[in-house]
Amino acid sequence: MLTKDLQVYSLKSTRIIPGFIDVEAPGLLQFAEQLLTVFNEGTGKTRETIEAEAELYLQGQQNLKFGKGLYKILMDHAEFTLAEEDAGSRRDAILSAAASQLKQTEFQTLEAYRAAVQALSQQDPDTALYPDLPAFEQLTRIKRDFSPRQLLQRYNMAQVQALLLSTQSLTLTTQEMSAANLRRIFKCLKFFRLLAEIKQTKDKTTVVIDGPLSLLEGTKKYGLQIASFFPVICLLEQWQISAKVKPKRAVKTSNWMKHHSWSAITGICLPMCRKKSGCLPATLKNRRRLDLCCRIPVY
Amino acid sequence: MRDCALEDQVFSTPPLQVPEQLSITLRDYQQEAVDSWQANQCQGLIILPTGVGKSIVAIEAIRRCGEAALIVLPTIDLMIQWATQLEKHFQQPIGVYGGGSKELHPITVITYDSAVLMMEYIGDRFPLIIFDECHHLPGPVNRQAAELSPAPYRLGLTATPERNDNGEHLLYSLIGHEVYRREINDFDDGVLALYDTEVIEVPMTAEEQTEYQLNRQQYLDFVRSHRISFSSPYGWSNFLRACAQAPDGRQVLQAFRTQKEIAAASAAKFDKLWELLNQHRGERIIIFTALNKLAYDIGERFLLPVITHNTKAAERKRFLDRFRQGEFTVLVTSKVLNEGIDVPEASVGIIVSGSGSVREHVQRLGRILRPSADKRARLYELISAGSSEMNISERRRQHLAYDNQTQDNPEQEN
Repeated sequence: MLTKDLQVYSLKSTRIIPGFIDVEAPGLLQFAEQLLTVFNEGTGKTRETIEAEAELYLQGQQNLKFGKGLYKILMDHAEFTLAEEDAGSRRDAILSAAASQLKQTEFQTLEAYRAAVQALSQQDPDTALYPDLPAFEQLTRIKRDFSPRQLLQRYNMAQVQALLLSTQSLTLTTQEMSAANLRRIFKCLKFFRLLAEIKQTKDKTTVVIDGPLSLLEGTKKYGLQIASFFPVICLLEQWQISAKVKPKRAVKTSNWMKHHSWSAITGICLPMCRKKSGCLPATLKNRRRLDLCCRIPVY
Repeated sequence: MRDCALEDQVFSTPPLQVPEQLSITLRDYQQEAVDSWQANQCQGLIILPTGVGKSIVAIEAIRRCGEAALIVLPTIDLMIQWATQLEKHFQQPIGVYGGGSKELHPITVITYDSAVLMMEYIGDRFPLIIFDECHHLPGPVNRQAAELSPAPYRLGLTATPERNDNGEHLLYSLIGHEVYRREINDFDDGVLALYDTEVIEVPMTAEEQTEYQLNRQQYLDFVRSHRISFSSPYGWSNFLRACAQAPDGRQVLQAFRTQKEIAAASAAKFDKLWELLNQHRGERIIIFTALNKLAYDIGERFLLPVITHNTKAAERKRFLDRFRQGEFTVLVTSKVLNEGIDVPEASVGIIVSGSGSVREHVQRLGRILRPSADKRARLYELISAGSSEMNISERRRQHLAYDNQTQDNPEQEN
């Protein structure tokens, strides 16, 4: 799922509109393919190497936020080797023995030094000393076999999911709620520990999804579950959702921000500050409505 | 412009409880620096070389200002170091904000990252803001820490205000103009340790030389054919963009990396490094590299503790403590210990690889210049002969620090 810094959206009155990309754009498809190549050919390579290789394409991307978002999605689907658990204690023993050897006054060859460390620490110095660092974890596989287009679709979906993280409830409206679809919806609602209130009229079905404690204003408990549930909705043929979301952390406009000009306060010429303070939207603290009625294709 | 009444509703902080005198005597230049800052309405930059006690200047500035102070620092290690020092001088709890801690007190230390995120919420509690290593401030994100702070009293401390992007001019508008400056060669009275610097050229093997030339040529051909100029501030981004777009871009970038790696980690460098470690047995040595990979290669080969940004906080603290106590005599690092870390006992620095940045180099030199009894510091630079490292080394030594070293080089005498 995308982190806050990778979210792209625009605000229009009380509505929030996710920044979708065109999944057919040749430039974006080529970029997705390049990133996929790095990961698909990266089995056995360290996390650090993959990061360095991907960086090449990320730097070439004019929209860096989009590039990082796509990279994050691939990283979320990548599996790495697990770090060795007792590497820390083994390292401590070797380093302590090495430190005592380095304090000796007589010259040693490197081979003699390493042999002395081995004898003193009872550890094999030829085994990696730092195998437990995340940077040295090796890629074992990518959990899904994405095509470039699927990866771009996944990015669009992740943009919605990132917004849904701050919601407490979601209203789904659909015209086609067959028994099979209903069964799948119920199964997933149960899996994600969500509650649903279903209303059916002649031409549509409305499902209000939330959690058992969603009445409590402060709870953020269900955002992750609802966001995780969202791909299930995308499998429907026709759907429409509406949710109240909080775009970013609310900006608390303190008195000093509201009533004072920057130059008066600081006595220093801070042209950027004036611009910045003028831009701070106090209304950000209000929740916005996310309405989606388009179909975000998933595979 | 007409004078108008100003009602300041920003700060309602009570005056800070400060001692009448500090427990240590300020040196003349420290006194002068704080005087100049105070005379400039408690605003401005103080530029002093590393290791001469900039933090004492800041502590005196806080004492004289007598207002709640927020000290902004680039790393968590520095934050802890400052908190300990501030607590000792002010005898009151010091707030620490960052690295998992969220304590706020009238004197608080905070990282640049946390300051950017939190300034809008906590800025009105601190009429005095101090930016340590303030050359970090002009960055597009970090500058928000200064922009969002309403503090009327501002102090910037650095040894190296100059930036490759000329961002130092922004410092003057964010903090105030330069109120005091002294260079490293203004100090000759034992304030800094005596030091020598030595550049050691080591030859590459024939095999390394061939591979180096091959890869470098591929990289240079690409740069020339795409007319990329690295003298432009966007040179590197342009290169990466060109690599991303060209069909052979990946190979070119790989060639660029390979030639760098060959020069940075030639076999002769490892041999020379081992020789130096033997030569300085018992002395406290810091080995610097440009890349994490090389730092870990050295750590694995010579069985040494390595600190990089990947090192977990607890292990980093353990390594540093053991190094300070003398249990470890050698520490390998990439860039994270370049700045601010105070290990007065460290007397030997070995730069196995580095960038052409004067700032980075001077900061690295500063790690071994902290005065200590009978200390003579020594900074070695290992460079691969016939490689681009020679030019890089020339570039990074364009600083006054290299005019002030002691002249008696023992190796030359022998």
